[in-house]
Amino acid sequence: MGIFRRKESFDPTDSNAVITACRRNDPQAQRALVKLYYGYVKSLALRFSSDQMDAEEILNDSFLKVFTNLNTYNESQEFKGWLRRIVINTAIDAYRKRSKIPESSEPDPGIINEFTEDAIDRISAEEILQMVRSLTPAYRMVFTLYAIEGYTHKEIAEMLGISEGTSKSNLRDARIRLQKMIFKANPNLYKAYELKNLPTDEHRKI
Amino acid sequence: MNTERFDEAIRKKLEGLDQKPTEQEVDQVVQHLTRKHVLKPRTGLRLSTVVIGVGSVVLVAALLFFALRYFNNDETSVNTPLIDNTADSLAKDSTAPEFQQPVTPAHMDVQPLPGERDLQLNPPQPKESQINAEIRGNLPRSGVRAYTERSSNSLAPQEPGKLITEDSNPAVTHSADGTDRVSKSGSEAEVPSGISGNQNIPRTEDTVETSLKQKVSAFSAEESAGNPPAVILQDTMAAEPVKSAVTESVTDQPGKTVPVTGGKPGNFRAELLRVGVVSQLASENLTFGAVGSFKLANGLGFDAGFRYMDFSQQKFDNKSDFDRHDHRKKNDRFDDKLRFAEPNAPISIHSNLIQVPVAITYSIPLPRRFSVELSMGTDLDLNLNQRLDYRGRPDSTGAPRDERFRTQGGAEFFNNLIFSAGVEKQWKSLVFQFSPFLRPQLKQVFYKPRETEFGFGLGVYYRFGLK
Repeated sequence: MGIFRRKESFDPTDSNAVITACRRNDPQAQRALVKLYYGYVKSLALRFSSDQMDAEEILNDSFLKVFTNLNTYNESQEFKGWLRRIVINTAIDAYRKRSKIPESSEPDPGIINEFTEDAIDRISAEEILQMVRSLTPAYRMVFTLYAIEGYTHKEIAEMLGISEGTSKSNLRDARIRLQKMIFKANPNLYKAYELKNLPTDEHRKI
Repeated sequence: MNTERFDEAIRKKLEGLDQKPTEQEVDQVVQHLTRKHVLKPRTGLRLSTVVIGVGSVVLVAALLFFALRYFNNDETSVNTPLIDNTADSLAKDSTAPEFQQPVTPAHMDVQPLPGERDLQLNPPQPKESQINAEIRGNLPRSGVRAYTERSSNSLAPQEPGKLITEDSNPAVTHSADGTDRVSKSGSEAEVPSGISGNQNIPRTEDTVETSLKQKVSAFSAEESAGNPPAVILQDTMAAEPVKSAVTESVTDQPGKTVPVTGGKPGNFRAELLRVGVVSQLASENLTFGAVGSFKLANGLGFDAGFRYMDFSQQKFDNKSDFDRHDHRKKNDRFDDKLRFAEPNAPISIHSNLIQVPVAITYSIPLPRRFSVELSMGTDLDLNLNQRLDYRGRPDSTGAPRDERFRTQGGAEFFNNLIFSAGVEKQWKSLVFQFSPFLRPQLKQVFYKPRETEFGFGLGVYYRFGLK
């Protein structure tokens, strides 16, 4: 039945062709663009959200901004970078809308020097993502923006409307919490870490 | 492990988490964007919508078809109180001596039949019984409806009380005292001396009606002798029974339904619905109509609509010229009229047709929102209207009489195919179409003069949906 299949006027795997067709308001191209970048946008959105609904809202709003501002996209730059920026801004907007309370810093549990890359390798990517998503919004935003997306504390402070110090503090706390979660996921490592970092009195009791 | 290495390890771990989306997930995003008016709404047409839509078109077409067929049915009689008072008089005086005289108009095939009363028609023949009933109050309504109208120059003053006779059709007249009467105009040369005995009723309803009117007219003319000059009934009055006939023919069959059946259309999903106006120009006709189209995602589509086809007027120099060109036997329905046409006067026929065009289409997309559309279908003929203009023989005043004779019905439902290969250009929600076509006749019909017709169509559609 291939002879009866409607041929598209663009290559659905070629992002430039799809974008060009989208600018002509070609409905097939618009659908193709969504299909082409859905996974990428979804993975970004998941990092900034704690639950599925938030992630879908970020995803939907991101595509809405993409199609609304597609005419402003400069083809000389990479579309994925432009799209990434849109998703991050959308996620920040969502964070600002929901998280008005500044994060309170917990006592510094200390740096885990025994932490090795093996500990991370033993955990699946889905588990790591889930750990990141389980952070509080302030920690998650700062950690994701700094550690994964590569923004500076100054940029993060401007984007989130916080001070650089708060950004640094939140990042440090986020790391420690993540490390603890990773240790918990590795029972052997966690046991060694826990024994070593227990308070002296408690250690004696044991 | 320092923080940078930790961050990098996390970053690497989270890379490559992109998952290929399902169609449902993509649909959800597209629907969200559509609700936000960022994307144009998709048709939303599913298989059920296609079936309902196509079924509705077929149902409407079928209802129209059967309504028209019913209306054109010979057995359908519609009460038409055209000559009520005359019929009463006729019933009362049907044994008058003048009715005992045989009627021998030149254009009627008259054979004496055994019978007791004037106008008493043979009971075994349904037509006659129908006529017998109609004489008592109403005129029968035939499948081929016809009436005659006169030009103004036919309204020559008649001598009061003069017997007005000889014509193919009678006309209802209004006398000065407000009483409707049926009279005839024409010379006395062919005046039937009366109606007597039983008569062989011609086959066509038109002739039946004509002969009936003649009988009535003859009697009425006798009765109306001495009355003031008659006034010929205007066209609109003659047309009124037609409307009632249409109404009654439809309402006479309540609950008549047409079953809608549809084959299994498969998993094809409708991608587009569009509605537009289309005009086709061919060598001898021009059509206007409204067409709706369903387009499937695989390029296939279905078109259906309604169309009015206006044929070019056929003109003949004289009766001989008409006969010479009458290879389609137009005389079958016009013979009775043209028998009294002036031999050297021009004759013209004007026809129009109501059609239901249906077609299967296949679209091939081209760059720049152009596309080629191939189509194959047929034009189902629903209703034919014809008008014959000729000049009748001079009446008693010697003035020429321009006659106009209208007929309706007789269309052949399925008689042709139509192939077209057109080009379409989409602009916003509009689609402009140019489509040359070839229309071969599968069955020759008298109202379509050419065996194969060609021309081109122009259309403008408004599209609903994504394509």
